[in-house]
Amino acid sequence: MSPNPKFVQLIKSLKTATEQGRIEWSETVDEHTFRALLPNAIVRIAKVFNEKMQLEDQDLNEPAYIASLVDDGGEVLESVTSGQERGQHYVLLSELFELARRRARRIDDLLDRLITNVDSGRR
Amino acid sequence: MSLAYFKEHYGDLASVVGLLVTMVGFLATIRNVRKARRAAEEARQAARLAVARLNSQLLANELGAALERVRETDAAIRECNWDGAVYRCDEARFRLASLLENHELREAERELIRVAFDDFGMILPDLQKLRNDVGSKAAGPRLAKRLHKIIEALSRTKGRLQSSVMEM
Repeated sequence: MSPNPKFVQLIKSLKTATEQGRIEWSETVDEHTFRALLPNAIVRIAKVFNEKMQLEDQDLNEPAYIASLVDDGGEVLESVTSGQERGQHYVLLSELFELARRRARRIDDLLDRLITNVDSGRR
Repeated sequence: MSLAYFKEHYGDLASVVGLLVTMVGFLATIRNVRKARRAAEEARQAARLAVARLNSQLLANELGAALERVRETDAAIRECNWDGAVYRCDEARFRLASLLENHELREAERELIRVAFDDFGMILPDLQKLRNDVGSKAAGPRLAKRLHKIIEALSRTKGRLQSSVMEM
């Protein structure tokens, strides 16, 4: 079944908002899953490896991405799966995952501080 | 002369005295009404405070119960007691759900509970899988770390609520 186009639109909006620093992502219990808290819902973006995905047509080491919309009761309302590398939403979901990971782990902040330190000659 | 004047204007004087007495009585009544109103307001305030204290105490107790379930989940996971872990994880999730809409909690605290509730929703299927797998190994260190973070956050919130009860 094809994913809900409105949910895909929400994913695109989240990606833009994350790029602009308007959305916060946080880590979860799963190393490869990040979450954004929205009013009355949570969006999770997860990187999954094929043993978990159990997709027959996937290459062994190639990860896939899943975005899920979860309501406040913990129910998964919608989800989009990237499928294979050439899958329809692969680029969108993989980019959102990378942005979410950097945001949740404050990687850009750390890099900014390190660049400033290196440029100013401090260690 | 003055007696004649008094006799002649007896009624007027009585009216003036009557008016003064009425005014004094009126002022006394107003004062008493204000006093009664203030006392009623103070009683209402005291009742409000008592209800707020009770609510905070109840919430601290509910949070304490959720915290206990999270601790028990953590212990069960460390012991690889998957049956117990699944049961306690479900219980913890149920307890956390009851706190989600509580407006006694601060916004940041509600967010922490939302996040903890979501984490427990993610942990549960993994624990069920570990329970169903024969000879399953221990859960990863990340899970323990996350559970400890949840325990810390809930303990802090419980402490804050208990302090606010004491201050009331």
